[in-house]
Amino acid sequence: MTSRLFEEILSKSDSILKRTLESGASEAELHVVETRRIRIDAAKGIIERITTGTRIDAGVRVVIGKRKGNAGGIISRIEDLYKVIDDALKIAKVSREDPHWQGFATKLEAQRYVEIYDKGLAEAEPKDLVDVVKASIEQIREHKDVRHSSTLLVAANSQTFISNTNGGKVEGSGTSITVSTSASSGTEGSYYDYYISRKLNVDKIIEMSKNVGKRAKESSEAKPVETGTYTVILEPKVVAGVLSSVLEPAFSAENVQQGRSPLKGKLGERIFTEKITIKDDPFIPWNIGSTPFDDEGVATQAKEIISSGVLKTFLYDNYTAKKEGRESTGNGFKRSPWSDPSPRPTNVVIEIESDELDNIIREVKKGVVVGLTIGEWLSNPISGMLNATVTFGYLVEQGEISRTVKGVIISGNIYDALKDKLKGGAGRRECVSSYCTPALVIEGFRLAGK
Amino acid sequence: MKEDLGFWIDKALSLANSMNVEFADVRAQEYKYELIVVDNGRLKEYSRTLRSGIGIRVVVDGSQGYSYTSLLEESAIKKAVEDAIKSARASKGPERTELAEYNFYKDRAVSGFSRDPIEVDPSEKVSLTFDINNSSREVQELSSSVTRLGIQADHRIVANTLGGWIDVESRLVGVAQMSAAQEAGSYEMVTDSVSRVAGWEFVEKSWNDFESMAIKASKLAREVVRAKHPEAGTYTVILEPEVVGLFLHEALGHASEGDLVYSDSSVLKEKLGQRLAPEYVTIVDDGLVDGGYFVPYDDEGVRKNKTVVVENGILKGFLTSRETASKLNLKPTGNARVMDYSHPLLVRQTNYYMLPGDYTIDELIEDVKLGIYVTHKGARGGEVDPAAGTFTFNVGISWLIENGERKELLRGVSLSGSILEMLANIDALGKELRVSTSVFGGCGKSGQLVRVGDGGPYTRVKGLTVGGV
Repeated sequence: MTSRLFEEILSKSDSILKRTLESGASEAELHVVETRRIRIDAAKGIIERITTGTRIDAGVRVVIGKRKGNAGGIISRIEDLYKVIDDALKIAKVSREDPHWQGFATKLEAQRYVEIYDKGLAEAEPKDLVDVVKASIEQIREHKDVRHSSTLLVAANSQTFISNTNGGKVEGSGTSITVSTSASSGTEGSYYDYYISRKLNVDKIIEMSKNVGKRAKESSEAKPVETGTYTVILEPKVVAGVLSSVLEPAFSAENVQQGRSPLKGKLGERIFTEKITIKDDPFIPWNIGSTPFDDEGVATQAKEIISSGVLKTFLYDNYTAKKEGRESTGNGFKRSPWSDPSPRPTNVVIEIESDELDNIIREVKKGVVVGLTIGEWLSNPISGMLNATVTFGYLVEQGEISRTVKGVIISGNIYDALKDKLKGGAGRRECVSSYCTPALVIEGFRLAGK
Repeated sequence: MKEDLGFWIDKALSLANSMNVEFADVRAQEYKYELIVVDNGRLKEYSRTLRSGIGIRVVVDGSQGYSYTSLLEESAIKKAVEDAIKSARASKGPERTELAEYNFYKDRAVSGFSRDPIEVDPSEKVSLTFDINNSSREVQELSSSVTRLGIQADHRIVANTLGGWIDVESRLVGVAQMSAAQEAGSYEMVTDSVSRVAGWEFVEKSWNDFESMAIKASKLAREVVRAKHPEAGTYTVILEPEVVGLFLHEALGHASEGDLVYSDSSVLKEKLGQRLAPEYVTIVDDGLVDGGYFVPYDDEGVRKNKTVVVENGILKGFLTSRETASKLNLKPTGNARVMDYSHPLLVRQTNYYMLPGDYTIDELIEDVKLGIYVTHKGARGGEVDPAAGTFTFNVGISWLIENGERKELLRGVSLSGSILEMLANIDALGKELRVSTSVFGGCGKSGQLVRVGDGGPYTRVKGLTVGGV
């Protein structure tokens, strides 16, 4: 159930937009999100605090001729929204003309039903979710010599409304839940993992927590490896972290148009090994990146970005698409309802032939199975240089796991890695965050240790 | 501040009192942010953001609950108080939540500014951003240039059932430049920025400095695209003050946060009173320092004094909120902070920095046979696993040092290691102290971003692991 203010905005949306046009705008867009959140913090096995609340984020983008202005924020009453509109108009009046501006999206719609609203989660009370946190803690405590450090659960239930003066309106509901948990053992052993989905799945949270306990224990003996060249097996969450930082920005048409993508001019070329296909798929049930429409209200669509190693398309929002005389691919996503969109994928699906992990390990003479990294987001998406520090991994020597690893820098160019060094997948494909991928086996990667 | 926010604070506190809570505090906020982005000579974004609302924390039967609402109306405030109480009851466990005692004040603190940057004519702000972007693009062979102007006005009140009432208002302004160059399929970017707790008068005074900063970034981008990557290995490294700040904040600062210490997530746990670094190393967290962010009080209303974390190499203290102070049997240090009223309190750093030593920059370099001189320009930041003590940093453009001289330019330098080893290996400190903050970013923790400052002197560290090719 949404608040009275949200309902008021919805019921008055046509007159709000009309009023904006009467105040001098030639086009206007209204984007409102009401979010109710429950957050539970636990530390050392104890529930520390529960935070609940509701907020309304409202954004307005206006255009006068080809001059744009954006304003918005967390609003407390309808007058705040009128103030936001005035601010946006003031900004548009002093803005410079954007010669490439060709108007807001003209067709706001959701073409398909997507499973993103979990009624059970939306109606969960704090005490129900406390039980989930307690179940997670229990799994960690079952491991001898392992201490629970902290767990954070955030459940959200949001209602989104987007309307503009060119293309009508869309409305939708979605839920999400994130549970992240960490544990420690010995003096320096620790492990961390998370579950993120649009649906509450207690079994998966328990499975994740069990693994945190197991690896926290194993990590107390972890140490660096000798500096050298290794076969690395990146687990699905590491693949997600690495590719979202160093590769994903290169698919954005905005980065291509602005000279910030190394893929500029490479459409139709084979850039990776033909073994790999990368898809953008907004329709995977309950996955966190799933959505029937983007933040401009444009219907999302499934597409191949890389098909057997060949670059097939970039990702477009309305602005970058019109600049090239084409249609948006439904990938316009905003940082907030009042910011301009930028092209981003929904869910990234990596298709590659996989073998069982055990079979692959047997063939590796010197390698590291990378389970957890930090700092991968510091990689350089313009050059494709990947840098990350392994905080948990397994050393593979002569076909067998010999010990655990931490404190090692992985570095190398992601384009070289996915073109010449990618051997294949390992294990089944898992959907973690907005990525669905098996582990990836990459040969000849440089690791800096001691 | 909206005129009636005081009214809603009183309303929430009296409702809480009438529902027999042991303690309650209310946080109200009005926040404004402006961002102008000029991308390759095009106004990519000019946005204004506002946030307002109210949040209430209660302690009931020894348990805490927090609830917030952006809706300022009687029914929403009442629901927030009831939800906070409901949450407190749902979180009830075997242990009581205690909040350490503190000296409560009634005070209002305002950062100094003579011309309110939020009120400055928007066209003046747009002109400035275009001027800087145009200057940066006078450098030839540049593939991309993005200039940003950021302005923040923050006003927070925290009041509680003890009678404390703290009202803090500040302004923060800054300019950032990103210049990228391309050559033979290779791309590199150089970033630089300046932010200051100040009014528009700082911008007017610094207009030329912003332009030269942008030109320098563009020239460096053009040079660095031709630079080599370092060879992976172990080096003596000289860090610029901005990189020292990043290092201290990420590698030591987080590990000294009381909530992480309490939850066994800090490598510093059990190390109070132990030597971590040579005796010339002293590190503090300070709410009010030149160049840093403005934190005279934290979001519990506790006065933020200078907290000594490491004194002459010995670990002396941790950063605490009232709750973690009680759990760790320490005093509250004024480090309970929130991004905004819709988030619960976490232990956060304010301005974290190392005190200077007595070396000149030339003296630091001349003793180095083979090393790397590291700057923040183009640095992407860092991340640390505070429980294990491991860190990784992607730093900015750097230079190889050979036989006491700065030689060729390097790119793609990343540093990795262990907090404790790195502190023990600090070899020499420069004379000059620089602390800086940013209106464009800050520190992220548990989904909350807060403004922080950090810094130190030029610092020489032995035996750091450098990732490369």
